[in-house]
Amino acid sequence: MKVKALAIALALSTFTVSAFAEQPAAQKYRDILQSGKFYVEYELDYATKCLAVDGVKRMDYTMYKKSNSALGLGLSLINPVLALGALFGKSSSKVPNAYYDGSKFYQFEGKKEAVVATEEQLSDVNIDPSKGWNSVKDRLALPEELAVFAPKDQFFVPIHGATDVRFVESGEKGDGEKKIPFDKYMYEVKSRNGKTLYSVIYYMYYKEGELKKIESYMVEKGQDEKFLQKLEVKKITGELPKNVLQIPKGCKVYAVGTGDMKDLLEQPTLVESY
Amino acid sequence: MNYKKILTLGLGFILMGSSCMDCSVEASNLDTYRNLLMKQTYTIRYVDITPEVRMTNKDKIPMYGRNTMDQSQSCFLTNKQVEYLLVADGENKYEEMEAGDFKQCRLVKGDDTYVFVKHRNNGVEDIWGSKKGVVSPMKRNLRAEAMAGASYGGSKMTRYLNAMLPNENKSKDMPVFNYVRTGWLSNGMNYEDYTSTNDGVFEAVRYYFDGYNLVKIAAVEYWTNSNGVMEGNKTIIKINEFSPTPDQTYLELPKGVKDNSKDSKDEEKQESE
Repeated sequence: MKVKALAIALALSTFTVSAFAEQPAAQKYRDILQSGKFYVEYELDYATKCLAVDGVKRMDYTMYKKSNSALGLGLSLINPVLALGALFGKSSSKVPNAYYDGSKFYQFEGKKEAVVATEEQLSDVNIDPSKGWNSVKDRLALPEELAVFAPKDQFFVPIHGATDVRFVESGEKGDGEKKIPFDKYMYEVKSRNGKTLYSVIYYMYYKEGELKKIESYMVEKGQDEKFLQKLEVKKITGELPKNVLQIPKGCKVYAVGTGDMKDLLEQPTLVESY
Repeated sequence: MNYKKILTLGLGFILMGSSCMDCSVEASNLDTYRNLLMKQTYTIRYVDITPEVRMTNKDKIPMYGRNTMDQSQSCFLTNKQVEYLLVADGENKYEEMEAGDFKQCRLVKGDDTYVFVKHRNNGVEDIWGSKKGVVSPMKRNLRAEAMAGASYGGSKMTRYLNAMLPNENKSKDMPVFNYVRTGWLSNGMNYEDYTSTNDGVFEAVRYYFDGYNLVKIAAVEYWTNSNGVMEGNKTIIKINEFSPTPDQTYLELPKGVKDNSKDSKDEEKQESE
């Protein structure tokens, strides 16, 4: 870990930092992501994700890069947003993962089958805890890196004890024509006694005025920056792709099992058909 | 002298006795264990006598993920004890949870985490990672460690070993425990008590020592649910070993297991050449 921290420190030493203001496009992203109607597409280590939002409605799509049960198990330890579904398999087509229609939550198992639950049912003790209902809101939220532009996003919940994210500085990475401009943002996470436990830093890299990549680092007191994750931005737009908020045709929606006899016999009740 | 008077007198003697005993215990027996946990060098073998409470949807997973070895599905051996093994040496750590023929394992080596299962079948142990005999590393969850503290197998042991660590540097997601008393029991064991009243939950934990050796942890939790009814939970953990010597054999991938990330790293290297 020390070697990696040193490598990161060396890499960061090529940064030139200036006290410039944010990239002009930052305000554009704020306007889009706070408008209540937007579509974002981004790539993480293990999956590509899309989120479409129109008013209170929102749909999440997830395309997993790998597929196996150990991955699902491991992901549940590191990222609940990605954990569920890794068991369903690798996918290159756009598969809906979760949908909120303004009052009910849907979780999809492929394009042909979904299960629906009300807000109240999400905390019903009789729902199977392995079905991922306790992370459905996280999957429908903006990722924290993009929530920098929309901290009041409907389902985004900051880490307990986190301060507001603030812009720190702008700078450029690299030399000559390969210079990449970036904006640096950060927030602190406070301990119970009010001291800073650690800070999270986002480097947002721009290319031709568009946001391309966000790298997150964590800094604990007296230590180097440690790399957390990379998010590649594919698309941030105020225009929704056609039918992106529609439940796929042919999809059968079943009521979530709440421990009754039908649930025990695995005979779910069909409540909606598309 | 009636029954009540005898009882009152008896209790008085016990209280007097225990307060005198308090003075006789000078250094905390927990100090040794606290130091081992902070230095991250140990081998711990323990048995959770009281199985984990079934997880429900009310148990929210934090955004940064989980830190312990707990499963999201209810344990299939709900009435049987679960055995754990923990080995740590600085940045490297191994956690193992044994239930029936299965051992759920997690090996942390520097920045990488390997999750795999050991399955005993007719006396032969198979190892399953991304597939049989092959493991894939994942990134270590640094934020879960910062928010939930170091993991010590199951969530209960994680809670009660973190409870003995200093309260500064604990996140707002971690309960804070305070020292209450030290005393002796009639069976010759001594103990240290800690309590916590965080987030509307009263919690008391007792660490039992046989001489200087930590042999048992017992804890109770009480809270009032949304219907105003008091609920509670108890934990008993038997500690079979808590030694300062990490068993290094566990800090390497088991023999015969292939790390498939090394292949892809070699391919990347060849491509760049």
